[in-house]
Amino acid sequence: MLGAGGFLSADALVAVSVPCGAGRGMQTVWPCYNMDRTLFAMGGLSMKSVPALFGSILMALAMPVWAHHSFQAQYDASQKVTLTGVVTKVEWMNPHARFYMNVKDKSGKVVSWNLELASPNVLSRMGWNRHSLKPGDEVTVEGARAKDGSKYMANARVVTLADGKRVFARAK
Amino acid sequence: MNLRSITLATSFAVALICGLTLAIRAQDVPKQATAGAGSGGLNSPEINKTVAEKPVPRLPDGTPDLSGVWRGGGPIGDIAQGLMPGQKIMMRPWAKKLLESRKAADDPEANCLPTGVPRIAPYPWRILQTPPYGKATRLYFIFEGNIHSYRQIFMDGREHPKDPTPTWYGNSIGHWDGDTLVIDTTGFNDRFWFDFKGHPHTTQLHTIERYTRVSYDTLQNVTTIIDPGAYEQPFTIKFDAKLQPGWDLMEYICNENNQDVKHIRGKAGL
Repeated sequence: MLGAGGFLSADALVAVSVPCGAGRGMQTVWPCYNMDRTLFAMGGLSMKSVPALFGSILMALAMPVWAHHSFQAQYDASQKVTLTGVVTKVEWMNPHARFYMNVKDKSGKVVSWNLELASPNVLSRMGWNRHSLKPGDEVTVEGARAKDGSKYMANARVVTLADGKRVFARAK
Repeated sequence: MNLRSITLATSFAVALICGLTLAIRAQDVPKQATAGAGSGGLNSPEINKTVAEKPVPRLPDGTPDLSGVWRGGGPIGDIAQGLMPGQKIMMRPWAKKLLESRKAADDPEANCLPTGVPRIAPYPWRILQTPPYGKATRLYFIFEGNIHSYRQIFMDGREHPKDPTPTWYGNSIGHWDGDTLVIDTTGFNDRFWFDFKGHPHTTQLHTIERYTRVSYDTLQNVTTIIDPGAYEQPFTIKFDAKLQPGWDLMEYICNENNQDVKHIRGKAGL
């Protein structure tokens, strides 16, 4: 199931993805992650493999992806936010990994955002680790705002480094 | 035949046997994909297919071997999703009222408390038996989440205690019914929920779980829920657990940085 708002959860991808290259010999395309742990890719994507790709996505959609709480209880998927700033701290802790980043608001004032990720174990099984994101990294985050009105809190849906590489990617 | 040709023929035969043995062994071993140290590996559809075709493993005495790392096998979001054909959840009025009034922030799982039975966390768990190769006297279900915890199932023929102190996982006694492991549990507390929706129960809860390894990678769990305190009649649910080849359990200390609860809003639900 979606973590609401149309993006796949980490759990779904854990269930369906493979290391890029591990699937050589497979006739279909499959979501994969690179062994350098930098990004997800769709291995060998071609027009012929598009139907298979949709099959993979459907499989992923059909799988439960809950964390230890329901997504909707804490985040509002319709309240999207895009942030660019500098990572100040990474907490590789349970039940969710999270990081903090300094972002300039409209008035130019720098505010600290608290951004939630999946659990470290889910991210680890996808090939990420505690070094994947570091303080000082410049990132752009697409997220869903907290439901309780906390101004500077969101679930980080897409995290992209300044060089365009994605970290903790859930899906394209 | 001279000595040289005998030696050559023998060498050829040995090489042939070695080659055949290696070829057979290579077929026996499923291909593994690993995702680096500590990650526990990932399962590609290719591996799952290979694994699914393997026969159900058995202990020397013929008992199915359920040991391994599994995922799923119980309700997560809504227990009704597992209802067997013809089964209905008929709640007593007070229980229905409680279900409808529950708040997501009060879910024990969101608060890093155990799942109880039959709920399962979206994390892997391992079945372990002791002794490992003989007739089990105890089985352990070791959970990575929702908190590091375990269930112990007594397989030594004992009965339930007369007046058990109510606990999160209750008192479990098990036996084999053919190839099906039957676990009978009573002595539950009433603190855990059956799912995110908040289906409640009372301390009268009695569960009968029937686990069958229907294929190498699938462990079917058919559980009957009997709780005359909260439900008008028993009902039976089915959930499948899937084997996670190559996975190990990892540390998951849920309450080390649980910032979620104070931000969770609204009614309990999916």
